[in-house]
Order: sequence, then structure tokens, then C-alpha cells
Amino acid sequence: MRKEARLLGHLAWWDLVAQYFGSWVGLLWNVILPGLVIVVYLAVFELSPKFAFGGWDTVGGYGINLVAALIPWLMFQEGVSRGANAYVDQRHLLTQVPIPPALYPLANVTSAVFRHAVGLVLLAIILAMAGIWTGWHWLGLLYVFPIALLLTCGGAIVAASLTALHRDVGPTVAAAMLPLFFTTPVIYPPHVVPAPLRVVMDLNPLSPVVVAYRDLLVTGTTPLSGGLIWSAAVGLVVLALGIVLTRNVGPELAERLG
Amino acid sequence: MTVSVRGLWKRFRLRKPKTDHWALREIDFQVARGGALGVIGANGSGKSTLLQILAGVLRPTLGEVKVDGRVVAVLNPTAGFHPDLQGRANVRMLGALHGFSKAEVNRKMDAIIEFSGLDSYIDQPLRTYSAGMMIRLGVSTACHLEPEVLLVDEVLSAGDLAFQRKAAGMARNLRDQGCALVISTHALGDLATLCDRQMLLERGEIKAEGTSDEVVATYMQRVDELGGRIEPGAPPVAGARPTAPTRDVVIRSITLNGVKDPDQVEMHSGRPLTIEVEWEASEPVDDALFRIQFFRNDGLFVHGQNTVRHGVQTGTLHGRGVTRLHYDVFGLLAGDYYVAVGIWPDEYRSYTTGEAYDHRPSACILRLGAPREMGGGVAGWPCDWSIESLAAPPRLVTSEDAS
Repeated sequence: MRKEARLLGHLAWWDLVAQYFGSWVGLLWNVILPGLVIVVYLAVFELSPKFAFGGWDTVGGYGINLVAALIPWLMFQEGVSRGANAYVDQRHLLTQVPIPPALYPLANVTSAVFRHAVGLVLLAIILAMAGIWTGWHWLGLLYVFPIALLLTCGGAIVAASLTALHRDVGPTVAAAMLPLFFTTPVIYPPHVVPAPLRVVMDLNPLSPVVVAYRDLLVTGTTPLSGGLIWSAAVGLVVLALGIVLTRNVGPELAERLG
Repeated sequence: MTVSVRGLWKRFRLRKPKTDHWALREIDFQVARGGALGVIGANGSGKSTLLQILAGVLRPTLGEVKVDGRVVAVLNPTAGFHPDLQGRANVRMLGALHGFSKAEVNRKMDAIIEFSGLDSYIDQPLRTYSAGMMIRLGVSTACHLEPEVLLVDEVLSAGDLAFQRKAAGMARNLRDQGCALVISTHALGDLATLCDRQMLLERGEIKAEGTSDEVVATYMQRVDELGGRIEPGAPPVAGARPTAPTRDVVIRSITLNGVKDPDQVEMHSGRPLTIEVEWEASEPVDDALFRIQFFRNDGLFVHGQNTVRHGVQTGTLHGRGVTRLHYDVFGLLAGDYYVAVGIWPDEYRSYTTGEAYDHRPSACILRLGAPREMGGGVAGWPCDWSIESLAAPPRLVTSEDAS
């Protein structure tokens, strides 16, 4: 396990480095880009409340609530979308160095986690400056973040294996992110969703996660909903499916992609 | 043993058409610490698959593969490098993936750069490298990562000559220090100097194994044979002149040495050959000409005979009969040959018009095998060498003679 963890660290590091290699700012783009997303959303929605989605009854404005939910969503979206193409993108290494294959999509997830951490730090600074500091509630991330991570890791390794089997899965995953985004209460509060559509939102395992982030970081309440248990259960099932798929597809990756 | 392979089989499942392709069949070999095995064979013979299995990136379908120690492989020209990273960053990445710390790789960096000869190019992105530069960096990195088993697949012969020599020297040093080498290349000279043993693969099977001289001799013979092969279903002989047979005399069957389906049988150069043409003439035909010709697989006309050249009178053909052409020693060398058989009214018309009684430009295929001593080229005859000294060598003057 120690060897695998070290390899994962190397792969994630080179993933972060390679994305912006040769650019003037280089590795710093991994800080600048999440920062820009947060700053732009806050600027647009806090300074121009007309654009905001109505119906909020929580602390903070629309922009802050949006960004708090966006941070776990972006980690999931980036981890799963990039993870889906991990085997195809890394075939030059797959056919050369024997590395446990699941490490490739997990390296993409690790870079997404890094950017997620950058986002959280920036949000913490902004919230503190805005006087919205929920204090010890941030510790709630200790159990909410692992659920988000479970869903992201599971989604990434399932998508990576399926893309190795059928190349159509990669673009399908990218396309599926848009409807998934709109069925997750990121840009709207959950209670504004009409009853027939609420079932879809409730079945979406990401919904309780983004709501929990918002509760912990902005509202200052501790989420202990059944929804999070549902998310964790779905995450475990998806991760188990990913492990089974990787065990089956992994040994044949070099011949499938070589 | 550092590398031990027993009963190895590898199957690839092809999608279109859906079939199983056995890339390796019943492969057994061992390479000890400090040993070097050269793997030779035609493209598609299974060399790369074997090295990929040894490297651990492919899984054997059947059999047992054991490789002990740090395995470093250069299996393709890009050597696992990332195209957007600089050469230096790629070396660090590959080093890290082989278990070296950043400090350890940095300590080796100067030696890797010097050996690769890339100098300032080491700080350029890999996508700007030529194939040769990538190979130099890949081989140089692999050789400096302290391999206990070094696998090199067909990239040694791709660099320039100076680098090839340098790389072969480095591989020899590694071998002398106890590293086991498994090298596949088409540069047979490199293998002979590097490897104590060689293995010839053909269609996934070990065709020969032993010393370099033995295996290379077998390989060259196979190249001679396979280079002239006519595959089943190949088109008829190239450039055959079209004919419009009148069918006055019809060829019923053709046998070679009594074999009715000669495509399936390998005959031997330098031995007797008899071609029998069974014919049938519904009406009497006078003074027909029989011609038998041999064409190589590329359409080259290599030999032919007809009855007129030999002054043979065929008389009146009527009913059924057999015409034979016999060679005491058939001198065409190893390869496949189209046998063309024709029955013509006369020699003049056989060259100037297409008016044959019957003509089969690819009547059958003659598959010939030949021992190496028959010689090279298209034809061979039994021969002997003798060596005779015509003058005594100059005598060395020694100090005793001088005194």
C-alpha cells in the first residue's frame, strides 16, 4: 500500500505539473483557476443580486451559497470527467511501466482534491472577511468530504474502465455532467424544486453532499441527514463496482489501448 | 533464475473479425543473472508481446512468468515519456515511477544527459524531439536506473550508429555487472556481440534456440524461404498473358512427383522432379506444343521448357493421355513458384497470339525447400569447393637466422 500511495503521489504531482507545463505561470494555475471561479461568481452574484436565483432563506448571499456548493461539485466533475479518460490519456505509460491501473484515474482525482483544497482555503478567507465564519462546523467536513471523495473516486474508476472498454463512454460522461449539474442543488436551494422533480434531486447522491457543504460552511448547521447515508452507500457501491471492473479490465489495458 | 518463463501462451481476442489470435505458444526459457538473450524473428512473430509480458504490462493467458529484481523496459520509442514535459522532467517522472527519489534521479541526471548526447535539448518539451532523440533519452534513462533486468524492444537499432555502439557498450557493462538482458532487434550484428544465446520466434513459437551463429543461420534460411512464399488465395502470376483457349485439347489434371495437390507439399531443390499433365482431346489434334513454365511470386519468369525446344514430336493427340516433363536434378532454390502449363498449336503462335488449346497460367504452386549449401539466388547446382596453394608464404626472418 505504501508503494502504491507513493506512486499515486508521483502521478498526481506530474498530472498537476503537466497540465500547465511550459506556461509562464505554470503550477500556479492550479491556484489561480479555482480562485478565479470563486471570485467571478461572487463578484457577479453578490454585486448584482438581480442575477441571483431567489428563495434563499440562509445566511449569506446567493454568490456565497453558490460557491460553497460549487467547490465539492467541481471536484466531482473534474475527477470523474478527467478520470474517465485516464487510461486513454496515459496509454504511453500503461504500455511501458507496470503500475496498478486504478492509480491513473485516482491521480486525476487527487489533482481535483488539490484544487478543491485551494477552493476551500479561498472560501474560508472570503467568509472570514465577510463575517460569516461558522467556526467548528468546518470540522464537519471530516465526514462530508470523505463521502464526496468516495463518490468521485468510484465515479472516476468506473468511468475509466468503461471508457477503456468502449470509447464512447468518455464523451458520454462529459455530456452527462450538465444534466447532473442541474439535478444537483448547486445553483438553487433544494426547497424551490417542485415535487415531481424533487425525487430526481433526492436520488442524486451528490445533492446531500452539496447541501451539507453549504450547511457546514455558510449556514453553520450540522447535517446528519439520511441523504448523506444514501450518498455514502451509493459511493461505496460505485467504488466496489469500480474495483471489480478494474480487476477485470486492468490486466488487458495495455492490449486494449496499446 | 532472474527470468524464468514456462509454458507461456498469449491470446489476443480480435474484434473484427471476432477471432482468437495466439501471439505466443508454449514458450519456455530462462535467463540467469548476467545472462543475455536475443530474441529475433519477423514482424508479428511475438517478440514485442513477449517483452511486454516480461515487463508486466501484459498478462500471460497460460503459463508461468517469473522476473526477479528491478525491471526496466524500453518497449517503444516514446519510452513512456509525456510529450508536453521537458526531457529532464520526463527523466524525473520515469525515475520516480521506478522507485527513485528526486535526489537520486538528480544525482544520475548529468550522466543520463551526457550519455544521451541531448545537451541543451534536455530542457525542451519532448514533442519537439525527433524519434531518434526520444530513443536516446529512453535508452539512456533505462540504462541508468540500475536495472536488474533490462528489456529492450527493437529500439537499439533505431538510433544513429555512434549511439548504437555506445548503447551496446553500456548494455554489455550492465550485463557484466549482473544485469539480465532480453533484447529484441533486427540488427543481428548487435545481438551476436551482446547475447550469449538467441531465440528465433516464428508465428509465436520458438523455431530455434541456441548460440547466435546457429539461430541466425536458421533465421536467414527462413527469411530466404518465406521471402518467396505464395500465400493461399494469392492472385495468379503477375503479367500472365491472357488467352482464349479453343479447348480442342483440355488439361484434365497436373501432378508434381505424383502429388495431385502439390500446394500442400514441400518438395526439395536439387532432387528429381516430374510434372505430369493429363489431357483429353475430343477431336484429333496434330503436332501440339506442350509448355511448362515457372514463375516466382513477384512474377519473374525463372525457367520454362517446351516440347519443340527438345525436338519432341507430339504426333496426333486424340482421346486421353499424359505428357511428362522430368528433371533428374531440379535446380530452382527455396521458395514458392507458380507453375504455368499450356498446350498450343505451335511455338510461333504460342509467343504471338493467345490462341492456346488450353492454358493454365497458375496451374499449381510448387513449394520448394533447399538446404543452405545449395547456394543463394534463384537457382543452384551441386558443386564442390577446393583450395590449392600456389606459392609458399614468405618466411619470417628470425634473430637465429641472422646470426
